[in-house]
Amino acid sequence: MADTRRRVKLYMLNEDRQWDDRGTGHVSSAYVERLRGMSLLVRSETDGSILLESKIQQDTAYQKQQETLIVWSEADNYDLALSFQEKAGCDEIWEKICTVQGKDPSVDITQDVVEESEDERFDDMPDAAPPIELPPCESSRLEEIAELFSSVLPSPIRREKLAVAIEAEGYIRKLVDLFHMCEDLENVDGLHHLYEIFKNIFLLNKNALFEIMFSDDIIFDVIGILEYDPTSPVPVKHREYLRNTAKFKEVVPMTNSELETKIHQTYRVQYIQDVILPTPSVFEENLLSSLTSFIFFNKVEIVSMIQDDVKFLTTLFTQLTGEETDDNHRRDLVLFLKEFCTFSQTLQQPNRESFFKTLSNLGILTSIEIILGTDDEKMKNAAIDIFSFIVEFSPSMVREFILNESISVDDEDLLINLVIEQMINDSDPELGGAVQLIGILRLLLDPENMLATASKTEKSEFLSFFYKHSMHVLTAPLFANTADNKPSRDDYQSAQLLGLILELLTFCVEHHTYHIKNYVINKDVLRRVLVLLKSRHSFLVLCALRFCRKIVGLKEDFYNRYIINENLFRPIVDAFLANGDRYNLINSAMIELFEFITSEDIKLLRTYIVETFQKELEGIKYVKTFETLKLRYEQQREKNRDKHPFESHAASIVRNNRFRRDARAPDEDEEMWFSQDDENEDNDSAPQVSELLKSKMESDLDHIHKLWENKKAKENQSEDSPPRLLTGTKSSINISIKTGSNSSLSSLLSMPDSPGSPGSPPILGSPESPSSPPSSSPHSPGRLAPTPHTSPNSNSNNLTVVAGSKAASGANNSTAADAGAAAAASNTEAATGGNGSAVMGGTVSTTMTGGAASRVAATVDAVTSSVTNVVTTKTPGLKGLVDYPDEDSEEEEMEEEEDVIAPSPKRPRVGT
Amino acid sequence: MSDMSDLDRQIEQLQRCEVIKESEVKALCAKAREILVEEGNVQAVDAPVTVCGDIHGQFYDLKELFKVGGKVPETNYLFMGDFVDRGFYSVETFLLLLALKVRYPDRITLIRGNHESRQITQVYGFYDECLRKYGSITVWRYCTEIFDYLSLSAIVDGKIFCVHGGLSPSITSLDQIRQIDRKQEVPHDGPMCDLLWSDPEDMQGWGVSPRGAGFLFGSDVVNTFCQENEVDLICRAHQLVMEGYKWHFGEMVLTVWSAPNYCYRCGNVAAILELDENLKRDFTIFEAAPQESRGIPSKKPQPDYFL
Repeated sequence: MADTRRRVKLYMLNEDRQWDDRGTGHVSSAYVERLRGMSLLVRSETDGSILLESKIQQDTAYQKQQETLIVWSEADNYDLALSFQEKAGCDEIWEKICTVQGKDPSVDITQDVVEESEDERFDDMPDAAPPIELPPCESSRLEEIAELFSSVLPSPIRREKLAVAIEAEGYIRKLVDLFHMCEDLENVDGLHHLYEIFKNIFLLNKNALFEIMFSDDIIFDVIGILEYDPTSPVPVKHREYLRNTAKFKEVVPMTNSELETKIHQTYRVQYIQDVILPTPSVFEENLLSSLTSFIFFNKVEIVSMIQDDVKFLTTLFTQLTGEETDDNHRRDLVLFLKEFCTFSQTLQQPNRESFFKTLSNLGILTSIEIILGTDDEKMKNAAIDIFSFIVEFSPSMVREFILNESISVDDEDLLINLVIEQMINDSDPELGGAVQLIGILRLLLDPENMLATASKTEKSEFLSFFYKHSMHVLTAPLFANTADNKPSRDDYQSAQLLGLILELLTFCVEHHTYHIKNYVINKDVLRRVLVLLKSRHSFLVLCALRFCRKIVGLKEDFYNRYIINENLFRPIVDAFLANGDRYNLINSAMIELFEFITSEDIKLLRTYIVETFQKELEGIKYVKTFETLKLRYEQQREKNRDKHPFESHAASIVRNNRFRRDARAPDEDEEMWFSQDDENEDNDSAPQVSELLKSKMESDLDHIHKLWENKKAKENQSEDSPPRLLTGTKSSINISIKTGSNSSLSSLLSMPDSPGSPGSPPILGSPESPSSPPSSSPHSPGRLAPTPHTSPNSNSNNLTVVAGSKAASGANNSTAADAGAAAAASNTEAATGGNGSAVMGGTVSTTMTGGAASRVAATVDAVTSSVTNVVTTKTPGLKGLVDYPDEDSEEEEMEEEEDVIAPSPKRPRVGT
Repeated sequence: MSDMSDLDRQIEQLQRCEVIKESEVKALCAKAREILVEEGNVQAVDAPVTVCGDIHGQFYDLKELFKVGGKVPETNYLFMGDFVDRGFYSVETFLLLLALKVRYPDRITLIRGNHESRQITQVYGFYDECLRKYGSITVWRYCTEIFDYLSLSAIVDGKIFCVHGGLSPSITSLDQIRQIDRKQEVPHDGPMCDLLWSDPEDMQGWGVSPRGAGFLFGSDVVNTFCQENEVDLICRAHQLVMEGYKWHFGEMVLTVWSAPNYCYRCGNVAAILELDENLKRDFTIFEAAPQESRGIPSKKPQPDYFL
């Protein structure tokens, strides 16, 4: 957020009195020791170089103009301006300037402008500064030299000139000679002066000088000089450490001597930076920027040189995985690789890509897999670090590996399962490794970084894979520990592990709507999780509660029904009451959950809670939450009584086979969920729509297949086959969603009324697209089906999806995703006047009134109600067709039979 | 028993401005978590207590504070957040306060400041400091996790409401604070964010905060809040005041600032507010500790290198 706020353009007034653009960067104000004061710094956003470093002088007149501009004069006619992207950033910097000058930030100019006096300092003007003459390099002059160097530092121009002089006169080597003399003679004063001199040479921040100081023949002398810090009572023996303690390990012989020299140099310079030089503080981070870049570029070179050495790397990997390799050596090889990866962090994006590609081609992931199978903890930890680098850089690469591997490898040997097991079996009582691994898993499971290109749908493939092959490994500790009514193991380490697993599951609930939903329901995960409310570890109780809260936060009646049918608030209320009136985190988190249900008006849960727990909760008066909850419930009941005098609301709540409305717009097509209308008491007719759509669906699927086949040019899929959902083609259908309509669908979702762009392929066209025949849109089936979505993003296109998915599920065991595909296709055809649309459009128009259709485009609420109205006028009787055999109704029934854990054969989705 | 002596040793070590081991940090955080999880979002505190504002990693100035204010557990303390960032010793400062909290849970109260956040500490120094002093970000992870457990505010004898930033338009009563599930990163908006980010301003009603988070709140807002909740005074920190403390709106709101010579250059004095058992107020002003030593370079080099 600070990124754009502090983004500025730097301008300088040129001789023609015009403002020259001096670059764009980020401005900060910090204390610069060298300038002895608060300064304005602008760091270029392109190369990180310092564009401006200007001390805020007490008497400079800064002017704020037009809210985003700060203008001032530096020296005589050196006018500068900072133009801020955001007013807030300008205000912040302005406040800083005013603070330094002791002014009230409400002024627009910090000083009264007076005529410039004659005695302006000229030495800051480039031409005015005289060249610097260095004293002869003699031990008697060391004090003088030290004073000169430190006097030069405040002025950038003089620093420049000093650096030039030092380089031109070969001064550094002369000083090193003096050092030898002083050290031999134990001339402590001389050594202290030399220390000051060299410290200041470092502060000159000049790469050319670093090159000299760090050359192989004198770097140890320079380090020697830095041992004599006058403020430390005894010299620190850095040279001894570097010569004797530090060990270079050459795991595979290096043939390139230049490379080896560079490696030594880099280690030593890094040592100087990390250990010898004073701890950099926030205020002087720019001070040694050139030193940092020196190390940085060295690392880049080292990585490139090794990467180009094919023979070296091949040998390395052969030994790494070779059976005859000695374990100590193997460990070193892994540690080498880890360092290699650490160094690669310096590479630019394209180079890093080729870096990891190189490693990947050499089989790094297979090697990691092998190492994770060993018992050597140190080696495994290093392998995990390497794995972490790879996942962070390219989760897709790793996912691809895992997917390919699954074809030939048994589940328990899969890399991802090894990683999960490593996490579960972390021997560290504090689970340091597990914390890292859970982070890696999260990256791998994050749909945000999954590709959805024309050629593949990583997300659906990988998530399907993960939920089939790995999810049970991840959740095994949860299930093992929650078989009874209370956690079977409640030691700290188990609790920590379960906490981590819950965090990941919570992440899944948030990001994998479709797969996790199936998983949660089928495995009765929430019930298991809520067993942990009985843990004695509050942090775990909070994790369990948070998992539930995340589910409730989705406001999906699908989940809510599950909660109600399983009476899952029972353990919550119990835990809440058991906590008593104690005002602690659990108490607050609990109240927050109930407060959310109250304020978000989640009717199903509200009714359930009031009707089930009223007695137990009504005594809680220290917050208004429960009172309000009950009040809202009663109001609703009044309303319902007026509307439906004959219907018991409570009975309606638990009714299973109803349409429901999904509160959230589906974020991804493949995660589309079948939606039903909940709030509407009578919804029996919507299935009619889907029934009518059924005939349409197959042709839609064919259409999608065709699109997909064109793109993938893959094996021909028979067009008249019914949706192939139970076999490998399932994913291909998912792919067709992506290829055919992923981008288009999401763009449609986000722009309800946008006219289709004329250049876009027909499939992209929204019903309002100019290219689509106007007559087709009112007949678009999507616009007529009830929408489950109340998010502002939802629109008529969602409706299409819904209708389509119903059709799909009504007809066969298609997955939600597949149904979405069908829906997308049907929408497309309707919009473009495709072949099938005549049939469908006609059908639909007999089902729905034109009035309802036209209202669909209005706000979502309007959509809901209008659709509802239409729906309620329909004849009931098609209920059977509406039920979603692979979804809620049967599942819920099944759960009622307490047969929830075994996967049902009727639901192949779950098992595949 | 050995736990306690371990803890005492760690406190001693931290008081010398020496960091404790990573595993010790983890164990300390686990213990702190058990204590903090039992605290309310508005933690009830009994007078007498000494209320302190921002510390910002100025370890030697914190020692100065204890010198003028009295040691724990002889003096009770309430720290209103911003323990970390900007100063050189955020790690030592926060861990010392946390260790004292674990050792004397009833004697010291720590509430959360806007700097006790993952996002902010990555920009203002704590993250880098952990990385430098421990060679990895593990300690930063442990600490930031504990940040999520810190209470959001405190109330002294039911009369003095203490919070890092100020009021929120979404909160009219203290009960509403109870409804916040505080175990999370400081959000970008909403009541929890406002409590940690808002500032008082000479105005009526609410204003947009130049900080980009929280609000500016005026005297009428304070009046209403105090009446509604039967509070006499709102005590907060969050803003540098050169004199160490500052009254707003008569004596309705008080800013206490406890980082002398802030950022080692602002030239301000610091203050602590001492409340006796009758809530009588007494300020103690103190100045920065003598020039801090830069400390020993703490990054340990790795002896074996492959590259």
